[in-house]
Amino acid sequence: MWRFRNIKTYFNHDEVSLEKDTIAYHGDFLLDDRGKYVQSLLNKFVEKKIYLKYDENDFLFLVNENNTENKLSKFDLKNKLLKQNISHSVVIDATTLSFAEILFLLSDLNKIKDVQNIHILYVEPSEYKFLNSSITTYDEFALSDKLQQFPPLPGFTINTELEHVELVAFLGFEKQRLGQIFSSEEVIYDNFIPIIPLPGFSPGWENRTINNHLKFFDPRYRFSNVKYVSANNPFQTLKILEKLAAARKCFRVAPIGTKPNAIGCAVFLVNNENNDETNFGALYDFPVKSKNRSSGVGKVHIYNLFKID
Amino acid sequence: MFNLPSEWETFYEDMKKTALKYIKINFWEIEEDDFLLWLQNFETNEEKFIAALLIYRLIYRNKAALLSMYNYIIDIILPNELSPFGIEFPPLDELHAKLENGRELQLRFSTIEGVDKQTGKSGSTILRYFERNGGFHKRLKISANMLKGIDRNSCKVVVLFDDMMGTGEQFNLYLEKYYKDCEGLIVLYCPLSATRHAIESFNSEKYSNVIISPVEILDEQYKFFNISFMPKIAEDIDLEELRSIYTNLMERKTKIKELFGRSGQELTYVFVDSTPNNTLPALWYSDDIWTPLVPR
Amino acid sequence: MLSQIFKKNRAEEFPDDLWGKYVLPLNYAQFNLLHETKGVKVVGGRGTGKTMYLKYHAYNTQLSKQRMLITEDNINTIGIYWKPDTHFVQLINKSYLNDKWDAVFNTYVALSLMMKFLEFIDVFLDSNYHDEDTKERLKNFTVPKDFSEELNINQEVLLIELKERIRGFLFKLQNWLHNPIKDFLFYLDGKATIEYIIQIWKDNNFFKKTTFHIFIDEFENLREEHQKIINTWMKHGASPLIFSIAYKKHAYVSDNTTSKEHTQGRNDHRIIDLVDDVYAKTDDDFKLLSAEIIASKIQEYDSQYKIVDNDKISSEEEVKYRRSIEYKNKMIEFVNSIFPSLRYGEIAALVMSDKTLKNKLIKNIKLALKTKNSTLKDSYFYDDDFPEASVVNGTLLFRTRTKPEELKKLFNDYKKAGVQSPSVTAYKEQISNALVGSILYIYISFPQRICPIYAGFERFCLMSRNNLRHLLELCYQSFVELENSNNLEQKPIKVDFNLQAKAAKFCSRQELDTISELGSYGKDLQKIANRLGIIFSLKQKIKTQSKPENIHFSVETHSLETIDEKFNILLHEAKLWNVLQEFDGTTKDTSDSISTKEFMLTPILAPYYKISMRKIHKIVFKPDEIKTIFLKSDTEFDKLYKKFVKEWKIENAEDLGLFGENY
Repeated sequence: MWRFRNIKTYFNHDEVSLEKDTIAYHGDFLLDDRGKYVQSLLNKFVEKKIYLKYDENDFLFLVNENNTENKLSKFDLKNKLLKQNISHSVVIDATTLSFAEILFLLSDLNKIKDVQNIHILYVEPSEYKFLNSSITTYDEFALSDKLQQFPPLPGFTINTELEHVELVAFLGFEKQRLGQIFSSEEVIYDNFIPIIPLPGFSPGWENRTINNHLKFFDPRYRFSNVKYVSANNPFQTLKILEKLAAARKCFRVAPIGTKPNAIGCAVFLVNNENNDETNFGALYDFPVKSKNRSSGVGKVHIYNLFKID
Repeated sequence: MFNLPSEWETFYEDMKKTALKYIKINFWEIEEDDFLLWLQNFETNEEKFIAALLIYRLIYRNKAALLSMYNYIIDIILPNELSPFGIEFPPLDELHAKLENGRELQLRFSTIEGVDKQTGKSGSTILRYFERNGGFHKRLKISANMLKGIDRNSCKVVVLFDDMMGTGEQFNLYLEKYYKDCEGLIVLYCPLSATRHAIESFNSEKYSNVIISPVEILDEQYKFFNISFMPKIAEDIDLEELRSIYTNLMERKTKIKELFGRSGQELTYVFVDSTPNNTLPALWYSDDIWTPLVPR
Repeated sequence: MLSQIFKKNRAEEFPDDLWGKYVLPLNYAQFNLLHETKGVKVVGGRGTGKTMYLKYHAYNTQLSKQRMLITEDNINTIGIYWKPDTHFVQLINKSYLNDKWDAVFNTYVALSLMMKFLEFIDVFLDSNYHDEDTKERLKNFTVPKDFSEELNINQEVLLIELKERIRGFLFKLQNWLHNPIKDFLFYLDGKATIEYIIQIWKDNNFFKKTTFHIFIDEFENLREEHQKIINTWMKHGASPLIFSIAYKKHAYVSDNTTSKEHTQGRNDHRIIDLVDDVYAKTDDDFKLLSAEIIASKIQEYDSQYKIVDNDKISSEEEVKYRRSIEYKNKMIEFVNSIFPSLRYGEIAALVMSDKTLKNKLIKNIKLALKTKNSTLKDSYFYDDDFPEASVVNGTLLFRTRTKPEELKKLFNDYKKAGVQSPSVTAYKEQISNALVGSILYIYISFPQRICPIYAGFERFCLMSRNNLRHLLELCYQSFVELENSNNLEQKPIKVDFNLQAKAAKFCSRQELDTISELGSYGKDLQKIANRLGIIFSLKQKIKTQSKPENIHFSVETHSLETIDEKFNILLHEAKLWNVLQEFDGTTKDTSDSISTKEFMLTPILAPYYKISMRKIHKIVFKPDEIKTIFLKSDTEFDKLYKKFVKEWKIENAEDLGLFGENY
């Protein structure tokens, strides 16, 4: 089980340092400024860098290490991680990896005895480009070939036919992500608990999130009340989920808000993976990152986790 | 003559509906009747437009938001600000447990108080609220007059909660009075919100062991009569004229002197139980004629 | 509260037992799924009542406790409704499970269907079916050993206890799928397992004559390999076990089976289209069904209304009574009284009596006369006693062919009831054709006003275009407006047309907003809908209203397929999600229009764009134009928009920025 040791936040990028003997897992560096920064940071400190990308359609992982590319299944990935000399320090870059990769990494690393501590790196952008949510604005979304909008995540997929399932959703700006959950599935969740990022990355942004989702805060969607958690505090995210779990045993978590929220969700799900009393699943839509969304490099966070039995 | 945008009425109706919805979902912890009465302060079309803009720009911090901010202070601000001073904290779960326990932690919580008539009320409310709901033990709470005598072995840091550092005046007054009592202590001032102006005008050289670390920072753009965060419908309006309509309204209906909030800061930032006076008085002013939206 | 009763318009918001709640469409007799001897394919888009229709045939409804009399007939075919959790089922695939996937899928289906069958037993035992002996025997029936052993159950278990065990296995299967390294506890064949259970029952004198008909919903969301398996079962389905499927109209579903034979569409399996076949074969069918649904709900709110007999609306026997002319008229009259509308002529009269609107009309007339260098007074062209002609004159005067002197004379002749001449007849026809367009033309200048054209039950039906969800939403929002205006106390219930129009505009905006949530390309669809809406709205501003009332289009091309691939994907998605409705071309607006497909923007968006909801005249787009609308950036679209502004000579075109968010 993972617990949070502490959160280190750096306002100055030059002050960021990582342990020398580190293995770092990362995604695509070149999508934006933050990715490039992470690349330079890892180049500076890290010996072993492993690129990871999960394909939600064929359930395989593209792994690139030392310019060798491989497609691995979930089991093969776990075995690979097991074989790796994990007396190094482990860094997971949440800036370039998606929720899915973070989830699977945490799950596999949880099972490896040698790994007792991990560091999750997350870099905020310095500026979010505010795309007007008006329908006359054209967001450059890549057309996708997905069969389903919410592909199942192996290990974290539950069957809603079996019992009453609630929905806990961490919200961001784009309301159609939540909208798609409600319209694509035609599942009526027993209860809908939205969680708004507050304090957000900037004061007042929570208004936009709430405004954009107002129509879902209605008994029609089984809504009862709104909860709030800081936009960049995965520890609190974990705590709020644990509190919710104390009162209910079956819900799906939709980490469609901030990345730190998603990290907290991943930790929660992994911590409860083998719990027979509970039934928690994930609901994630693999959004294609638009290139113009954010710019610059803002605060750098390192979330330090340790393992307990 | 002020050019009211042609869709202003739709905007007004929408904002009214939105506010009512905010109240319904308890995002705004305000009574529906109080809101509707507040709306009645605004009579002409231009005034109604201002009311709608105020709703749009309002930054509301309800009880749950306060707790979230408290947790932000504990989880992120405390460890990061204090580690350069060699003060380490246990893992987060343990830290919270120790806070509840009130033992083994070399910090104390207090607030800005005892300075003048104005100070003390809102900060104390926050302090009390955090103690009761955030979960720190009351033995960790101290008042300003205990600063001098507190055992420097058992306490290294004093964390000051406050609602807003608007101008920095109050904090400066506080330090003038109590700084010497703080010798040997690190003073970590954590207002939930602060204006950039206040932070930048603080003389940090004078007070070397004082750190200011607000949860939220409000810069110039958060001034109400600033185009930055105005909705699209207002992008072409004449702000100066809007300002005069506001002035007119407030002068007619209220007795307040600082029409634009303390130091003219024009903020629209409110807390559930109190409102900083840097916030536009249109939101909190109260008398027989003017009904407030939020309590002062 | 009245509105609350109308709030629920999704099947999932209703209980499984729909008896007394589900209004049987009048054509039902030909579409009774329980009479089918082979599997069928039920198609229906979002909001067409597909799920309700299926659930009506399932045992929860058919054996409802509300039904006092359950006959042998009712037991002879039992409907089983199953909606798989398609998100979960996606996991069962070759990449994840290798070759085991087939066995796992079969096992999942077997277990899930068993749950349903066992639930059926519970419902059966609880129903008003008279045979107590059978029920008693069922309650004491033990599952045969060789069957329970297949499920790794080693003790004796009663049939009625089996359900919880099966649920346990489904849980185990779910958890096994988290980490499917070893084999699962057991593997079952989907169809064979169910056949086996049925055989066991029959061997023990239970349900000897019964055919079980399984309806699998959301078929389009299953993986192709799953669909193939089910297609095979469907193909080989015969009494006592039949499989049918249901999916969204236009959805891509596989026709393949696991052998090399394909299912052959109509030859193999009947396709039942909810809208075109079952309840909206004609517009009148839809109207009547809607009227009954509304009446039935209002009765739920206030039982003093005794318009429909809630006991009878779900019953097949009562259908013939509901076909009578008196009944139909009674229904329509009732809903028209709740949602009254203004005839187009009355709206014209409203224009004449409203100072602002009338002034706009006069202003138009004056402008037209000036453009034609006529010195005639504007007052010759309008007359409070002849509102329709007056309003239309405002647009006719702009037409190139109209000479003011002639129109003045025509108008005078028209006013004198006695004059009959071909030109007056032609003039009357012009009035009829241009009335709605002219009315909308006047209203579109006033953003705050909502044209009362969008009010009334009949208009609601037009805007819904056979989509029950839209219709019920319009009713719901109307009642919300009524409640907010504090006029609910007034009896009998009636929603003023202003409130209805307000509700219509709200629904319109809400629907537009929702489009972005539909499917993988939701955002694109919304953008397309908006752009089309903007163009139709622009056309509504043409002074001459020469080919008025545009809400549909066709494309000038030999073949739509040759236009860009992305375009075709989006077009298909638009049809799938009911953003566009496809028709075979019937109107002959341009003789050189080659493609015969026409596409109508969902008319529920009409109030938002202030356009007509009737399918009258179409716009013919060139391939480049439609590509711009569907695929290109805002800058490109802006150019196209400006091109139309120029082409159609619109003077008061708004900056595009004002569309979308109002602020």
